[in-house]
Amino acid sequence: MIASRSKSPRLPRVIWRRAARRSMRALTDFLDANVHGDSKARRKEIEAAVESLRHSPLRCPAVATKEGKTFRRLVVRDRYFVYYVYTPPRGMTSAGTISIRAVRHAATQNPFLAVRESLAADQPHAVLSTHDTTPAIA
Amino acid sequence: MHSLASAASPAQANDMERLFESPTNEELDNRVVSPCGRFESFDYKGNHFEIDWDEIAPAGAESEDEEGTPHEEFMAELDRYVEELEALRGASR
Repeated sequence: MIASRSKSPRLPRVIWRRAARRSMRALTDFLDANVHGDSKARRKEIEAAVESLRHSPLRCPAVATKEGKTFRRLVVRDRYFVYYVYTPPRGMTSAGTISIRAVRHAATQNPFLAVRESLAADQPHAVLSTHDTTPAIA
Repeated sequence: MHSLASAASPAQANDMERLFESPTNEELDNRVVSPCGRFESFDYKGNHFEIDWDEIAPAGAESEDEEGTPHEEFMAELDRYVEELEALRGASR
């Protein structure tokens, strides 16, 4: 008897490397500290963007090569950049891997600009930083 | 392989195309890379970005035996993290 095959396409798995987890937590802190806009919605958009990569991991062009790895970049809402490395399938047992390396936001300007309801002030209440200095919650 | 956009309705696909973009380096504005290649600065749609490649791709990281955390697991962890933040904020009010 021949085993039946699933008709759904096998999608690559997504993993978050340590630096990426750190940068996403830092971004979460920043979004959460900002009183403007919907921080949960912004985070869900980034999550959806990462999941969309499973269907088209090569849609983003290569932007850099470091230590033999090709880095790609996905932009979410013009201001959040997701850097990742895609490893194609090897053999029959793997569907490939998308390794998230970092999530970055704009270094200047209000990340909520144009994505929030009308507000009096455009200045964010939290300090913007491109560095990952936020310690993880145990 | 198929794209997510192709599986969605045209309206959803348009929304997604607007939300998620993948510009080439040539499509960025005012892009400057330091001679050592570590620092990168550019503008995109009115936002300014400064990138330190040592943070994204630390030296030696590729030779580390780090598997990484599966997406679903990390998202669940992040949900718990946000709940803790909200609880802390609620307690301080």
